[in-house]
Amino acid sequence: MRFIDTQTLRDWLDALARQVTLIAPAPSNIGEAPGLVNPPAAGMYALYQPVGSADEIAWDFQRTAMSAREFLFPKTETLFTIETDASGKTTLHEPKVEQPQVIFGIRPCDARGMRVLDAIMLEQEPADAYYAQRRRNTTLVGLSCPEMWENCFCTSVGGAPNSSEDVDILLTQVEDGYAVQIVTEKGEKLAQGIQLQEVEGLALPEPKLNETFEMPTEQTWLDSFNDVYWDRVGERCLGCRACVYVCPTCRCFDVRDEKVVHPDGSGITRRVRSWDSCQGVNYRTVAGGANPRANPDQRSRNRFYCKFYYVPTDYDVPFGCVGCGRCIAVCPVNIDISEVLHDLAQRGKA
Amino acid sequence: MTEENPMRPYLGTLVGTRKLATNIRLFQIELNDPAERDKFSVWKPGQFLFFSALGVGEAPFGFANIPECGPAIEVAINNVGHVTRHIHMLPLGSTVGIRGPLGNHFPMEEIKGQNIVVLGGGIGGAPLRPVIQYILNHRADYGHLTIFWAARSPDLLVFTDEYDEWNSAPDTEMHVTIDRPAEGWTGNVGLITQILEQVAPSPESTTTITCGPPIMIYFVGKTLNKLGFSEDQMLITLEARMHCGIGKCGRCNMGEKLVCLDGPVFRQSEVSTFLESFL
Amino acid sequence: MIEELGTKVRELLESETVECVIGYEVGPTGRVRPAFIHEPDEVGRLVFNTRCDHNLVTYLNRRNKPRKKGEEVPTTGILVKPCDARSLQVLLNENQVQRDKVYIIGVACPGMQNADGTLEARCARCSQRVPLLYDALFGTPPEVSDIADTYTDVEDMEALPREDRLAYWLGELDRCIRCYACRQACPGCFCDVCESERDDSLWIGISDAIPEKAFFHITRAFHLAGRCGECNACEMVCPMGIPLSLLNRKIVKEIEQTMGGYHAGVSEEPTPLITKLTGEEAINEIH
Repeated sequence: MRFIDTQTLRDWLDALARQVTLIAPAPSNIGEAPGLVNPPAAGMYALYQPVGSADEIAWDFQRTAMSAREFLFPKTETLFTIETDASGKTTLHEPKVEQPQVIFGIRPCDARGMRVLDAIMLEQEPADAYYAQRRRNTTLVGLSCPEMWENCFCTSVGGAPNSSEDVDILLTQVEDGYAVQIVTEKGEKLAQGIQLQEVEGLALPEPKLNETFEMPTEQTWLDSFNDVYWDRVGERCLGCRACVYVCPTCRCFDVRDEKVVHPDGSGITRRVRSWDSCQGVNYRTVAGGANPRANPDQRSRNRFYCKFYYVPTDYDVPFGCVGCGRCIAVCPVNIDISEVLHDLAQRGKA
Repeated sequence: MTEENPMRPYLGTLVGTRKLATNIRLFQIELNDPAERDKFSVWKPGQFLFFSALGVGEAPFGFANIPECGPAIEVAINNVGHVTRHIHMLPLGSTVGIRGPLGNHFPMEEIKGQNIVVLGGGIGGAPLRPVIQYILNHRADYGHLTIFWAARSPDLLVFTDEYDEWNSAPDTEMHVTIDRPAEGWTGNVGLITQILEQVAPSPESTTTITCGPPIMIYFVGKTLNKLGFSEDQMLITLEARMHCGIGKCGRCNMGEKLVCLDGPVFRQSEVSTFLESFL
Repeated sequence: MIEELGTKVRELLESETVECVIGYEVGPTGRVRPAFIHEPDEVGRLVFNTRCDHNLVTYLNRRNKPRKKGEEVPTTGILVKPCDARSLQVLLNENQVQRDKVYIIGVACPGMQNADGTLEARCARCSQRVPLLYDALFGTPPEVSDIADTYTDVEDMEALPREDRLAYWLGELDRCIRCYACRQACPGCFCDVCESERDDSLWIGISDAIPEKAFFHITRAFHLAGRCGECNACEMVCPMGIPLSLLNRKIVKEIEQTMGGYHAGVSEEPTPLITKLTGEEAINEIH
């Protein structure tokens, strides 16, 4: 089993930060609003951010407040710009993203989230060129979770807190350092810069698990679509959309042209895309005003079906949800995805 | 980009525009780059494109012609919102953006030999025009063609200057109707379902193709059923609000189907199994 | 108190005085959450305790239209604490909710608590323990000394040098993700299409960038000027922990101190505030 001691790891990260964009969990002010009545646990304040050194990393983090998807699929992205000169001549420029990035400390659930996004953005043709660029330039150095925390349920959706399936390198904390598993070729390439030791008989700690629960069957999902249960879930939903923004697998976006015109008639248009959410009231309204999801229960229902029925049906992944539990933590009215799954599984048995 | 970028529009020029009906204009575009023009000119009836009013926005529209009736790309656009309002104001010669062709298409190969019944409501007629053009250009490949064309009022009928040509084509009949009597109108008055029932085309070896508002598709389907058509014989095309057209932005889902990738053309039998509907 | 409340709710439902009652319940994991009671037999779900901090009045904004065309607007029963009642009074003043379509179940409020048992900051400065508006009142008002709100939270911010204040807010706004949870939780935000979500991006674009986010938050605070009931729902729901109440409280303080102690939602009157003042009277009052 390969091993790296803590200091060597930190030195390597310091050097890496000078070569690539190094993204890692870093501290944030999230817990500090005086009015926050349900502040997240102290280990849940971190956010994945670019860091300049190992010192900037929140080494004691448990789970970040936001997922890492913004580094493959930014919250706002310029798709292209169109410049018009004073004579009316138009040229289109597409951005190139070539800067390599390493996401250090990504949890297995967030890495699984990227796998789900890969299925949607890359494997389903035609591929999204912007996501493809960033994905190609990204190496994932995962960090096993020592335990499953409050709201975590990755093991119920085919994941595990120590899973190496979706990362390029997986680190697991042991005494004095980390056990190192090189998983992919990309990981192998990145690891060429690291001094790793071979340690005989290094035992990997077993993470403390939460109870795994039974998932509803595909048939139950189909049978329950028109159930009044969704009214009961949706009626307290505020449409606040926080669940979507913290989710590792959500990918809905809005597109707009934003234009600046100069007095001489020249101008520049940016076509931008930004994260959007199916939980918004007018998300699905069409020209003419019709909206198949005009009611909050229909919108709430769409989110659950998308994660557990539509995505598994349309793409080659077993679930569209990775069990990270962020939506549970963040929902102001306690719409709890694990409660919904449990209720539906019970319905299926009845 | 090193890879093909389906979100990047081809630049084109607005070479023609004319009024089709109240608030509806036809736009003719030619792509600027010859290689892009060639690549694009494979679109089929039923597919759609994204039309960019550069600096304002982009929206999806069904093709209103076939490449054989080109070279310009034709789309009919209803002035209903922010982007379409600006498209309507575009002067001739404007640079526009076009993405596509996107979506699936009417299975013109598969339905060869069939009698075809085409039903268009309002601007829904525009995506059906390519079907009519294709059949008329390949007349021997198809059986009897019945066209039902409807609008709320005469000023909302599209392509009125082509009705004579369609009506007098071999083995073709056309029935035009408006919802309520209007001054100066001597044609049929009544809903499309009423005239459909009167004419009562035979379901034998026939495929129907309907395009229009969701409520019209629904009631036409019911009437066709009454006349002995199975849902398998009915082709429809759905509209949806879209931002990418390539299955990424998530907006156009009807249940697990994405209108941009799995559609916009569907058989009614398939649509009836959808978890979500507009009604 | 909860038994009497339950009896009342049962009576309201059985007599069909209301179509449903919005209150609080405890979920399976122990978290308090809004509860919609439709059937008399469900009244056992209702609770009222020091963790019932949601402002339920925001739900009335979607219950003021019939669910289906041709139906009547439903009558809704709703539990309100004193702060919630202020938001409700504002909605009544603005004709967003019809008085005869809502049955107001007031609860005397002991003050809400944080997860660690301490009194919430907004409750620590509140002396209004009984709602000013109700059809029925439950609970015994606690003994509480006359507390005056001295706006120390706002003054602490005002005392910072300008550059520090700017740096602070830029940092906080950077963290904002434009999820709009603050707006959705707010009873005073009921526009069908928010100025920040227009299809034509007339006022602000869709980017996750500080200029847009600053515009949104500052505009929202101004749109609530003279209307904000200080329920703090916006800050409570923010997933990024941004101290949004400070923006609203700054304006509340300005209005109270320059316009004769005015507070939103304490009396029946047309709003927004600007409509109260006309001509010379307005100019004199502000100066």
